[in-house]
Order: sequence, then C-alpha cells, then structure tokens
Amino acid sequence: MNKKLNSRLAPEDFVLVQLDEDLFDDSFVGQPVSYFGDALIRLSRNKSAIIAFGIIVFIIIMALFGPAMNQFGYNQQMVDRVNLPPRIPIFAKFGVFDGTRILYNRQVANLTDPSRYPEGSILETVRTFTSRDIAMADIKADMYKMHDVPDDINFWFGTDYLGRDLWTRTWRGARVSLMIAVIAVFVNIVIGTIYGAIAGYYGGKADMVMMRFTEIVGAFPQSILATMLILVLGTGIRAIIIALVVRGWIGTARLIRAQFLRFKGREYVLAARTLGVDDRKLIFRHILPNSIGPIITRAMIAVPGAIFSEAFLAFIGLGIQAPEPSMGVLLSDAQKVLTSYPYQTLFPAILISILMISFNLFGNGLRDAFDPTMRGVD
Amino acid sequence: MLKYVLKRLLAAAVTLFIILALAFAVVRLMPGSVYDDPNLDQAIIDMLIERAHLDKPIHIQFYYFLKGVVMDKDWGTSVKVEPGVPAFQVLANRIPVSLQINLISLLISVPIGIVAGIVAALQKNRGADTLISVGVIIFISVPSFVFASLMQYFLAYKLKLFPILYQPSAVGALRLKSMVLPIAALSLSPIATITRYLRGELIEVLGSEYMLLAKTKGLGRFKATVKHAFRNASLPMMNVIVPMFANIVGGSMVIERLFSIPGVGGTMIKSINANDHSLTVATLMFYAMISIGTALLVDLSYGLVDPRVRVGGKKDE
Amino acid sequence: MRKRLLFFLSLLIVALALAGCNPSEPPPSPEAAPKIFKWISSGEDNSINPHDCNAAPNYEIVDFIQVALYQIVPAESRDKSYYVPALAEDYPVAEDDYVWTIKVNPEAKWANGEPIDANTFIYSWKMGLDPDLAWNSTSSIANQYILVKNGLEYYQQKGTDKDGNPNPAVDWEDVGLKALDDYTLEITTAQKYTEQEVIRHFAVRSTSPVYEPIYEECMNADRTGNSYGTSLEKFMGCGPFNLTNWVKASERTFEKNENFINAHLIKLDGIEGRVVLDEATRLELFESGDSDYVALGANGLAKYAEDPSLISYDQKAIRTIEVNRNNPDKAFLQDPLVRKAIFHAIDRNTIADLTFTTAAPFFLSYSGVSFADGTLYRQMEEANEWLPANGGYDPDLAKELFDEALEKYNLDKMSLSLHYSEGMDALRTASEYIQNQLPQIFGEDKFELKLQAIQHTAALALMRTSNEGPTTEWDMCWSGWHLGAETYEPHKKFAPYRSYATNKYSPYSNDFLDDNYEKLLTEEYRFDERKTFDATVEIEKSIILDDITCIPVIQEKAFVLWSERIVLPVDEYTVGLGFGWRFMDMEE
Repeated sequence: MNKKLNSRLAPEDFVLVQLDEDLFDDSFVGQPVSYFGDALIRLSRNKSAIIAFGIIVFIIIMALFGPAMNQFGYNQQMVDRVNLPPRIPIFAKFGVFDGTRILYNRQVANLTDPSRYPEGSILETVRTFTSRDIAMADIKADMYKMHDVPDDINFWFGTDYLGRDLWTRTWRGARVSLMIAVIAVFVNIVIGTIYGAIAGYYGGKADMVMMRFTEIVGAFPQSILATMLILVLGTGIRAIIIALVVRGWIGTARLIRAQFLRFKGREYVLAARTLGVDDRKLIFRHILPNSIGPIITRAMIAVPGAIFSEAFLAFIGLGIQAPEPSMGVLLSDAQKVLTSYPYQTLFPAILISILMISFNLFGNGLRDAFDPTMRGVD
Repeated sequence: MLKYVLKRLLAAAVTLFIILALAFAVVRLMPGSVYDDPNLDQAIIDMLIERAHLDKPIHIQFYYFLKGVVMDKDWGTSVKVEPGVPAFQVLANRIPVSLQINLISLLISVPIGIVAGIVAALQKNRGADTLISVGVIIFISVPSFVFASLMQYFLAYKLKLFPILYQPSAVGALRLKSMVLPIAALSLSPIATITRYLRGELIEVLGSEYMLLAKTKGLGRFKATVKHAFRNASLPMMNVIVPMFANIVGGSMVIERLFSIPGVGGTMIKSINANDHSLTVATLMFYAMISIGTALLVDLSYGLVDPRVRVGGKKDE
Repeated sequence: MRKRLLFFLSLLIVALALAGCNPSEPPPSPEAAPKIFKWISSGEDNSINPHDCNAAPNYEIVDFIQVALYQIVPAESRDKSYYVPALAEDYPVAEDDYVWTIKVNPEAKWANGEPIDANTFIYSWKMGLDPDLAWNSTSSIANQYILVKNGLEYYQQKGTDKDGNPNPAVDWEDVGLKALDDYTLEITTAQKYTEQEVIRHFAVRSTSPVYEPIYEECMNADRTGNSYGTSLEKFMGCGPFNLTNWVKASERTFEKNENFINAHLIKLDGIEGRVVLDEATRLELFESGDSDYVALGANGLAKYAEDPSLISYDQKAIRTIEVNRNNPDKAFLQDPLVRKAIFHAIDRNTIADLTFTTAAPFFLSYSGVSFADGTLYRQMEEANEWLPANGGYDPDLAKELFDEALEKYNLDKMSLSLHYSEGMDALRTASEYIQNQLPQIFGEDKFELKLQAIQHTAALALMRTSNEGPTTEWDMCWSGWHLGAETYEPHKKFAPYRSYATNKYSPYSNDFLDDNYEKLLTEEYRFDERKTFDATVEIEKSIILDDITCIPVIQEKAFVLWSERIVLPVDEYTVGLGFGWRFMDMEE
C-alpha cells in the first residue's frame, strides 16, 4: 500500500524548505562545555535531585553534630526514665510530642496511689470498664510527671528501654549506618572497578575465568554470606562492612566490564596502543574515565542498599555490637515494642525512609545527568 | 550456535561443582560442630562423628558426601532443623509453598509493571508520570516488610478484610484470601523495578529515529509504542525480570515470618545458626542452582538473539 | 491468535501455581466442636517422635498426643498435682529393693484402637536406648528418676571411655527392663528407690510407647537412623488428643482421642494451633479472639501489666555469667576475689525490673521441689536466710574487693570482655546495663568491659574451649541451663560444676562441691530428704559465698494471658504440671 502511495508522488510535490533564506555556518557563541560541566548543568536543573542532595547534606550534618545537641550521651542510662515518650516544647502546645501517653488496662484502685501516679500525672480517664470483676480504666498520663522528670528536661525523641536519649542515639545511629554504607560502597566500587576493568580489557580466557568467579561468589545469597561471615568474625562494624563487601562488588565489576567491552575496540584506543601506550595507562587514563559517570551513579544508588542491608542484618540478630546504635539496631529494637511505644519506631523509620528516598532521587538525577543520550536534551 | 550452548552449559556445570565444593568447605570450617547436644555423652558424640566421617580430613568427607549425592541422591540428613528428615526432603516440603507465592506475585507484577511503565513513558513529565515515579521511588526505597506490617495491621487486624495469617491447609476462598496480603507485599518492589526500567528504556527508544519513521508512516503514538518501542525494550527486560525471580525466592524470609508461611525463607539462616551442615549445603546448592540457572537462561536467550554477546573477544581482536 | 494463546498460557501458569494448594481434610467447623482451644505458640516444632523430643515446642505437642505408664494430673484443690496410672493398671509393686513390677492396663489402646501391652513398652525402650540410633534425649529412659540396671551401659556401648578404650558390649537381655508376660513389666534398678521415684520415672515423656509397625518402616537400611514422628503419616499416638493436621513450625490441629485410656479427664474437643514468631502479631490474634492464650514480652506487658488475668511465673533457667578460669593472659579470673567483686557489683534488682525477670543472687531456681509435700527448695527459710542482702548488690564491698584484687595482681586496670547471645533480649539489656554500671563502681579508669555478641551455639562451643585447654578467646559469657532432673532433685544442677564433669564450660575446682555432691548420691542421703536439703543448701552457700563458681544474675520469668472462656484446672502455674493444658475446660 505504501508503495502505491509513493509511486503516485511526482517531483513537483516536493518543495525545498529553505528556499527563502541563505544557508551559513554558524560560529560558536557559547563556551565549550566539558562532560562534567554539562552533567552539572543538567543536574542543577533537576529540582528533585537538588532537594534530595540538600536533605542528604542536612542528614550528614545532623549525624555529625546532632548527638552533641543536648546534654545526654548515647550510652547514658537513666533507669528511672525508661521508655518515655517524646516531648518537644514547641509542639507540646498543639498536643503532639507533649510527653503524654495512653496507659491501657490500669486498675482503678491503683490510680489514687501517689507512689505510682504522682499528683497531676493523670490527665484524663479515656475509658472505664471491668475485667474479671475488677474496675479498670484507660488513662491519659503525663509520663514525665509520672517519672519525676523536671520540666526543663526534654527528650525530643523520647527514651529507650534503658532510659537512653533517643535523639542522641538516632543521630549517632545515622552516623554509624552512613559510615558503614559509605565505606562498604567505596570498597565495593574500588574492587569492582579494578576487577571489571581487567576482565573487560584483557577479555578472552582471563575474562572467562574472572566472570566465572563472580558467578560463583554471586551464587551465594547476600544474607547467607553475611550470616556465615559474622558467625566467624563475630558481630561488629568491621564484620558488617566485610559482609557487605564480599558480594557487593560484583555488580560494579559487571558494569565496568561491559563498559570496557564497549570502548576497547574504539579507534582512539587503537591509536593510543599504536603509539605504544602501555596497558595500565590505557585502562586507567583512556578507557576508565568514560565510566566515571555510571560509577558515581552506581555508588549513590548503592548507599541506600547498604543502609538497608545493615538494617536487615540487625533484624535477623546480626547487628553491630551493643551499646553502639545503628539505624538497623534502633529499628529492630523499636519494632519489638511497636504497638506500645510507636514513637521509638517513628523517628528512625522516617529518617531511614527519607535517607533511602533522597539517595535514590539523587542517584536518578545523577544518572540522567551523566547519560550521554540525554546530553543536550531537555 | 550449538557449540556456544554446550560451552555455556559446561561452564555452568563446572561453576556449580566449584560452588558445591566451596559450600562444603566453608560450612565445615564454621565454628561449632554438628553434634554438640549437651544431653549426649561425649562417647556417643564421638561415635556419631565417626559414623558421619566428620573425624576424617575434609577431602575424604567431601568424597563421601559426593558419593552419597551421586549414588543415592542423598544430600545428607538434617540434624537440628528437622531432625531425621533428609535435607532434600526438607527443601522439597518447603520450596513449593514459597514458589507458589512468589510465582503468583511475579505473574502479577510483570503486567502491572509493564502497563505502568508504558503509561509513565507516554505521559513523560506529566501528571500520571509524576504519580507513578513517586510510587516507584517509595516502593523501591521502603522495605517490603514495612508495607507488609502496615497492611497486616490495618487491612487484616483493624478492618478484618483478610486473615492475619497465611492458612497453609485451608482450601478455596479462605486460602486465596490469606495469600492476598503476602503476595501484595512481595509484588510492590518488582512492580516498581519493572516500571522504572521500562520507563527509562521506552523514553530512550521513543526518541530514536525509527520511532520517528513509524510515526511518519502514520502509526498512532500508542500503537507505535506498543508495536515497536516496547518490543525493542522487552528483550533486555528479561535481564531484569529473570534475576528478580532468584531474588524473591530467597528474599521473602521476613514476609514469611510475618504471615507465618511455612516456606523456605528462613531455613538457610536457621540451619547455619544450628550447625545443621547437610541442610546448609543443600539449601546453598538450591540457591546456587537458581542463581546460575537464571544467569544461564539470560545468557542463552541473549546469545540466540544477539551473536555479539557471546563472550567478548580478546583485547587485540 | 497469538494474544489468545498468551492469555491461555498465563491462565495455565496461574492454574499450575494454584495447584500447589491441594485440598486436605477440612478442619472441623467450630459449630460441630464447641470446645476448641485456639492455641497460638511461638516455638518452632520439628519432630513428634517421643525418642527425639528435646525442645520445648516439641514437648508441647507430644504431651498432647502421647502418654506414658503414669501421668501427672491436677488435684481437686487446684494448687497441686499428683500421679495416676495411665497406660499402667496400677502403681508399681516392689518385689525387693531393686526389682519392681508394673501391670499394663489391658484396656490401653493406640489411637487406631490396636492394643498396647508390655511388649510394646519393651520394644519402645529397646529402640529408645538403641546404641546405633543414639537418640539424644533418651538416656532418660535408663537414667532420670531411677537408674535402670545396665541401661546406660547398653545405650553407650558404642562409645569410648575416658581413656579412649571402647566400651564393653552389653546384651539387651542384661538390661533391667523386661516383660514377664503380655501385661507385666519387670524393672530392675541399679540402686534402691522409692515408689514415687519409680512412678515419676515412668511418667517421663521418653518412656511413652512408639508404634512398632510404623517405627520399623521408618528405620533406615543399616538401622542407624529413624524418621518416626517426622510427619503425620509416620506417627501413631496414644495420648489425650490425635493430631489430625500438622505443618511443621506452622500449623497443628488436634481432636480428642476417644481411645485415650483416661479420656474421662479430658474436657476439650479439640485444639487449633498456629505458630507465630512475631510477638505483635500474636497479641493482635489474641485481641481479635483468634487465640485463647498469649505469652507477653515487653510490648504486651506495657499494655497488660495491671490486667487481672495476667499470670506470671518463674521459668526454670537461671542466667549466670560463666568466668573463664583458663585464660593465661588473665590469671586473676581464677581468683574468687575478682569473681566476688563482680558478683557484688551487679545490681540485680534494677536489671530484673528492666528485663521483666526475677533477681537471682542464688544458684538454684524457684522451681525445684525439695520435699514430698511439694515444698519448693527456695520456699524454705534455710535456703534464703544466708543470701546476700539487696540481691547481692553492694557497691562499696565490690569496690573494696576490686581494689584488693588490683593490688594483689599488681594491675592498674582490668579490661574484660562479656559475650552475650544474639536473640536473647533480656541478656543484651543486662549486658548493656552491666557494661555501663561496673566502671562507675570500680572507677572509669580502672575497669573496662567490652561487649561481644555471639550466636547461641557458638557461645556454647566457645566456652567449652577453655575446658580443653588455655584460651584467651573469652573472659566472661552468659549461660543458663536447666536439667530435667532438677525439678525433683534440685541438687542435680550442681553436677556440671563438678571438677570431673565432662562437657563443662571451664575447669571448675570447688572441692567442697565435689565432696558433698558425692555424699548426696549415697543411699544415706537419698532416702532422707531433710539431709539432702541441708547438704544442698551447704553446697549452694559455698558456690555463692566462697567460690562464686559462676555469677548468677537473673531468673527468667514468663507472663501469660488466658482468654476468659478458658477454665484452667489449677489456679497458678504449678511445678511439674504447669497450667495443666490437657485438662483445661471451656465455658459454654
């Protein structure tokens, strides 16, 4: 059908587009933009990535300085102040984070006992009922009054099962988690890059053997390798980093290998080799720079993955050494008392979610910015 | 071509054997012994150790183990996790339960992910795309068990729409109903991954010359996308979907625990913690086979379609 | 066309996926069986073989579906329990000091109606003690409350003695377990025992019978392994209930066994059980009426601490800190002085409050019975009057002892490590508290405690290393065990702390304990409960006050809620019987 249509076209059907203007070569008006400069420009136009970057920076600053922002140490135990709800003076006016909590199933007979409920600690009775012929009540209580905490002491995020301040612990936990994630990802990227570069560049037998090796390591599930390693090494920050590294480098290695397979046959590489450039220089000076964009992107996307892996390990009982906190340790401890003390889960959960979303968004932004096919497009 | 397939199959077999040897060695080198029951007298423990050849050097142990696997299909017997049950049987009882849930979840995720991906690509930077992208970021960033606990608490406990627990021996509607929540929780992340991947691929393809041609030919935007762009993007999508299967088979431990599903999820870690060596090795091999098998599948399907992929040439070629 | 094919293909795959849901027996509907106990438990079961039943989740099931010659039942008074014949017709008869006969009840039947006789028991015991099968929890058939003549020798004949020589072969004919006729059993013991001890012994779970036809089918080719009780088809019960559906570590359904010998004692019509590992989910199920029973942790206690239906009871195990006495770098750990300083520096009452446990500045638990009338060891004044005040917490004394130790060993600083088990929250909390507390008492610059998490079985292996030779791998480590025999013979707890015990955690050397424990095994003491009690107190005194063999800290405690429709046969948790689950009733 198309053929028929074409055959009906006559030469006079075609009209020259630029009939009324002369054609000239334009001279360049702008400055030449480097690869990274271009990426930076495109990144800066990506609003969500910039916001995400801002949030990451904010969280890093808080992780560094947050623990020092009040008078409590991360391992300072106050056993007469355990499991206090958060009290933040600015919010307290609006009825949230005001240090109160609903206490369920309290015997009415005990409510008048000042040793259990000091003067003024019971704010209101929410519900009364009887259970096995005993008068019971759900009450709303000021937990700070109940535990004799002076008015000027506020636990912004509440306290945990040993009366430790959760604000301090949450930020310190964020610091530990970020540190674990960044170190693990950095080591992964370095190992993966070198490994992938060698395999991709030399190809043939070397490639075959090296890729089989990644297949072997990759066949062991991450959680299982981690469990075994931690059994051998004992728990601790070092063991967790090793557990995250032992299999984490494979993805990078595959990526870099693919990049090398793509670029090593290019003419400029051939030219460089003809000029007598040695292998090491070819790999690191001439081919690898092509992959820097994908590497940075990959690192950004791997960080939240590593934070999550640490949390997962803590969940299955392979967290870091007590009393040091981490996001995973905080979450797994809090999850056990979720329905009774939901605030203990709330803050670490929000923090880890924001952290994961920010890193993902920023990573996406970076990927788009570095992607050559996106160059000039918008 | 046949040579390529044979080569890859052989390579996979060699890899599996190396993994088996490694797994065996690693498990034997772990601290603690298979027989460490404080109820047992040391003399009896010694007899059991001798009978299981655990007192011999590790290569001899490996020989006995291999002999058992090859001659009698005997992967050893579980000692702690399910005492007295052959390790193979332990897995055979548990895998179908996990497989069923994961398979359904994958079957649901793929079409939803594809539709969402196409919609997002066609509506790029418009309302629907933004909505889908926000969903994708959330589903990828927030771990599945968080959604699972939330759904269990609100939909099952508060609203009583579904049973709180999975019902392994119920039949009919109740069984299906009890599967809804775990499947939903497991599906979120695969849906998000497929959507994100497909959206990216399609946007790239939509900008290419042959799409311009298709449009010039008078094909509608939707038809052009589905007929041309989607086809082109769907082959590399195997690369995303197939390994995803390996991931969800091994990765549903927390969901299984939450809904009390008698699946294979926690077996591995339980067996490692209990020093149940035979079961650990058997489970490891199960995961290795899935991982190697899926990699092989992807490789072969690629090799069939695109001859360039068959093992990258030497550096001088 | 292709689309349709694709559609059918995907339908087929879904159908295949669903085919895994093969229908099994539908559970009895609640209308038909009004008294169904909904039981949500937290333990993962894996075997119902009475010969291979060494974990609490398995006991819980086996006690519903198996019964032995005698069984423990609740007393009318609702506060005590006693033993009645079950598969036995009557109480044992003493022929002389060492020989007892027991008549098997001619009415005794398996769940399928087939008769149980004396030969059933002999077969079961022979298989239980079989040296090749080497079950790990069946030595109790030969040695729990009584020591059967040649029983242990038969069981252990394939092993070696201390010097590595093979044990002598023992013939089954020489073992003191025999059938005189189809309904008469004759038991020959190695020592003199009381009637109560014999009854108690033949109420032990592992002495309950196994069903020969299935047991033989489950035997492997060379008779070194047996898969009896690993699935529903490979099992036959004779207890109060029949297991009708069993998915390991997930689901179990029971129906009343009409063939059960004491069926008149059983009020329930059935049980529907699920295993749920997540505490919050268990509580949700309890609150939504899907469960009649829930054990509470910190989460549930915050809500139900004052609830009138909350029942708490002490669990058997005492959590102690073992000290490595074979650490060449830290020889001072051999000195009771250092152990005593740490003992007195631990604030047990605070730790107990934080972890919902009981402070335990003692070595023997609250659950051991010392006297025939049921009086517990710890209920006696003599067992408590000498205990250090304030739960053993005395920071001034601790500091004094610590400084003395520093001076004695010429040290500026003591730096120790403490291993705690993963997954035991109470121990981690206690460890964190101690780690914070001890330097405050001893001086921040003079004492440092490093915590190290370790997986439970690895911890046991680690501690044993110091028994085998010098090791610097560990300084202190949590442990806590409980022996079945402790319930009626509290002093059995000392056995692993004797200097010549095998399987111990550290080269202990407490001569006083060694000598006095030997005395406790003699007939002079065994038939005099007062004398036994006094000697037990003396040994415990030496452990706590002089030697500090290990450092006891807390005793675990359980908190449970029962739904209001459940009528328990006892008012409180009683030693031996527990809550008497099997005998519970339900309000209409």
